[in-house]
Amino acid sequence: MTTTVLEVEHLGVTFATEDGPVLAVKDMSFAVRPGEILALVGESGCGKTVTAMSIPGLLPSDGVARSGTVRLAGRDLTTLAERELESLRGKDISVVFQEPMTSLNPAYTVGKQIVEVLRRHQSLNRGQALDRAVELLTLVGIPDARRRCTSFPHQLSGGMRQRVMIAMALALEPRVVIMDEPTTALDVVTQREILEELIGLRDRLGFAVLFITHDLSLLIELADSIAVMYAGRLVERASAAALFRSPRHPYTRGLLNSFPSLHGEWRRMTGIAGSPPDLRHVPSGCAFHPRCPHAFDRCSAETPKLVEIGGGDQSRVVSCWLHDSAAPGTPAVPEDLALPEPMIGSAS
Amino acid sequence: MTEIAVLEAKNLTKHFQIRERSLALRRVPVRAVEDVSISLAKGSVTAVVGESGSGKSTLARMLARLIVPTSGEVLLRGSRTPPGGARREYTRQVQLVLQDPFSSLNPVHSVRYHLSRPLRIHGMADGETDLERSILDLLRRVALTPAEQFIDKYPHELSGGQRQRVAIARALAVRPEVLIADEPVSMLDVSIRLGVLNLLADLRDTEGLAILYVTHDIASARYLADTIVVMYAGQMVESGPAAEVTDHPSHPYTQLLLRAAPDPDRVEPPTLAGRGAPPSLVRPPSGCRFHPRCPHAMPVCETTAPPAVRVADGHASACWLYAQEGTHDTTGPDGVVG
Repeated sequence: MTTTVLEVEHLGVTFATEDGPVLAVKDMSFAVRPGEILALVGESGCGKTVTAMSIPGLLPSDGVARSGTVRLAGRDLTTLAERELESLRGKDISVVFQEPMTSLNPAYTVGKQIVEVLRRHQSLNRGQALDRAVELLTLVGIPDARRRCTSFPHQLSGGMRQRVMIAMALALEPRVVIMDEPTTALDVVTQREILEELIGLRDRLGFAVLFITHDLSLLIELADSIAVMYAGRLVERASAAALFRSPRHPYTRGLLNSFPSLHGEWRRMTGIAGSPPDLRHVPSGCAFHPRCPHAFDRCSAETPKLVEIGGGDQSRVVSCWLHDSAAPGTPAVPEDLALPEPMIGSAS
Repeated sequence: MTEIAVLEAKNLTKHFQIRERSLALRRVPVRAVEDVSISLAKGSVTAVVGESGSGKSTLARMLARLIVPTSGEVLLRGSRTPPGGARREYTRQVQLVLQDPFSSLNPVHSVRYHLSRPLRIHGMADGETDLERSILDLLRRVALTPAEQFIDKYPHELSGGQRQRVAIARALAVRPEVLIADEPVSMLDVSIRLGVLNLLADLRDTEGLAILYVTHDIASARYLADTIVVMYAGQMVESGPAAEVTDHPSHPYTQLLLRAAPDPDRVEPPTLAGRGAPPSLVRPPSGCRFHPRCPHAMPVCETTAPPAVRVADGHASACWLYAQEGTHDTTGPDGVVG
């Protein structure tokens, strides 16, 4: 068994638009281990969905240029023909989209839709496929699954529909499941139930998850590691605990400060000044510098490199000039970006 | 009461009539809001927290007079609001800000047009120079500065947060006393939400606005609001001072909502008591509508809707756990008592 199941290296995605080429994703690299839940987090336009959808080749081919490599279990997906990708989608890598009502076909029962997925890839007869569909719906926590197979999508609640989507994504036992904001449209109680379900399924079945969300507050209880994106680039990647307890990038710190707490004394919080940039006019140097409280001269002039901090299990990367202490003129790292690593290891 | 209620709703109920797809096309009511009383005080934010289908937006729209209640009444400064003709005067005093700033602004009109309409219609500006001055002043009040740069922009040239600020400025144009904000930040990027919430807090503090903040996010309600009202399936289940409700939730549904909420400070995964989803409002459960999910449900919960019971100062809970049979609370179901 290899140590990683999915490797993305130097991924770049450019869209041709009326205003010229727009770089939606720039030099994005990450790896996912089997059974790992890696979250891609960021705000609208940061490139998280484009990154995720380019992996199984789900971006339109017209006007989209992709560079870099994507390896699934050692196989480079960027060199595959569309037909080869088709047989791979669902089987080795599957996708759960945000809005289950638009991804399920309203004209067919959910049972029929799962049966179709199964029979497309496996030689099962109708009865066997239906039995497997019932098994899958039971697996994702749908009670009375055999009867539910005869339901149409509109007869199910939002949470039930999303469970159906997850069952369908798991039908062929993929190695990697991409989930694009799967709980954003759901109520908070349902959201937690589905996330709990997801963790349980991952523990039992061992698939890896690439979880796309704008909601950082969910992730400490869900993700193993977190990659934060801003304006198409990776700004910080770390284990979930390290990212929450000791963020190194000012943007990560700002995001964490954007969620009011459920406890403690009231204090005024400010979020982050300004708004995320328009990708047609990304600021020079570090794209975050106009909103960054710690920006200095170098930040607007040069794009920061990704630097690795720590090693082993505590390894993390950050893209911020503040952490390049070798260069003269670099200000001291602010206290709230230099908190000690949680548990073992120490920040130097 | 120490504070004057600017806007008060008494026993508001809304049943929408729908045609049910059954053998005969019968008209059946959707019991969206059931007997809710609430009062908004000058210079304070009241948050209505609930999941989808809790009736929170229907309540907001009844207060904005966009929906006519089935029963109950709305009092503005203590007087009943007459139906029909006085609508314009009412809307001048009670303004609404909607969730989606991408659809609540007209894409073919500039910021100037959006802000000049209420000023003209309600006769708030005296001549063109005064109009211009008023618009610039409004933009400054919602921190869209330099105002001269924003006045001629079109919605597509603005970010989501800036659009929502224009929507708030439009509501402020007629100098209302009450602002009803229905999920004003849920469509915005995470990093700019607090900016808009802080703006609402400043408007409360500096201009004495009474604000109703409708949200599904109880953490943001704790941050912004003075009072939190929790709704479930059309009923008000708990109300009280914001920190009191979130730190010492008394109703089992509020407890569930808080346990389910994402919380980076939590050490261990929470156990949820009362899993499942809200009921159909066509045939809501009898008695307390939460009883089928409630871990503490008793026989009485199935038969009779619980009264609001005082559990602490200004903190009321509509739950039989706190009610002694026959000794119903007399502070009124809104629980917002001084």
